[in-house]
Amino acid sequence: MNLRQLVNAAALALVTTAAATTAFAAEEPKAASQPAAATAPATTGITKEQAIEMALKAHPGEVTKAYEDTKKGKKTWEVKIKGNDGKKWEMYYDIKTGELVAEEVD
Amino acid sequence: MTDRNATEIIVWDPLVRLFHWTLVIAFTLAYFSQEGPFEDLLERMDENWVQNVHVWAGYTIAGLLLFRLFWGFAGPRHARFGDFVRGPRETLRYVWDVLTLRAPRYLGHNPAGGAMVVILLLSLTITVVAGLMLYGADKGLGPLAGLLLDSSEAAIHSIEEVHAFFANLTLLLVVGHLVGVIWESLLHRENLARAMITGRKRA
Repeated sequence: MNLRQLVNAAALALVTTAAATTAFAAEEPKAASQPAAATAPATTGITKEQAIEMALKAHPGEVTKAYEDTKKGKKTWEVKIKGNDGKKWEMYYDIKTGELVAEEVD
Repeated sequence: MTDRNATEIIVWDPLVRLFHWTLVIAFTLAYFSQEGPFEDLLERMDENWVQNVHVWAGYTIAGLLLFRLFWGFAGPRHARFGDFVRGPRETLRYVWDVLTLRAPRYLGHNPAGGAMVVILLLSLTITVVAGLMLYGADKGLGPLAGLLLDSSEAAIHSIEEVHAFFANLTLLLVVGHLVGVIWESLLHRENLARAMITGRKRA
């Protein structure tokens, strides 16, 4: 393979990979029924502490982790609990509304 | 040394080698950012950062797979599927010859190695597609989010199983691939791993 062929091939490979990655790179959360995100501050939102409190009320136990995560296209607080019932719970609360988005058990 | 260089020829073109080693890095990152012996360490790291590493390693693998598919038809001789994909009978016969130490040496992929390439590419493709589906259905992120956001919990669970199964299968295949490389290297007294770095093999 001569140099020119090599450069052509490299360019082609780069374009293919770049095209593939950009096509997949739609990272914006797609929440089905959400209006265009307004710039208004989240006045009605909940704090991480409130999410932990709600999670512990639902499943008493030890909180192992709590952090921001995306679930079903919504920004949520994910709270992981090692429950007194011996199960590992994962609770997801919508940061904006406080609504329970998902509840998973291991 | 000059003598040896004179009889060595380029077998693996630069893009095949770049593909191979980028895939090694991307798969390692993708796998161990989710599973394996580092789980305790991962627990202590920033979840979103770890998740990003996993997702972008996955996108990289998707791009690499598309490239390899194209290169399997448009690349130089030993990169082409036509050069190394053989039927099941010929492949099994070759495996038998390998095990009984009678296998002939091939310059490109031998029939068993060629079969491994195809199986690895397929297993990775299923893993990546299931990963993209999971990302869309569970998190509502990525290119498939719009399509899969309304998936049921049962469906999400099934996708998760498929993703994990084929990721583990791929790891198992990698081990098989390594055993094959070492076995063939000893059998034919050549360093096949080195050949995938330099591209050169004894003519």
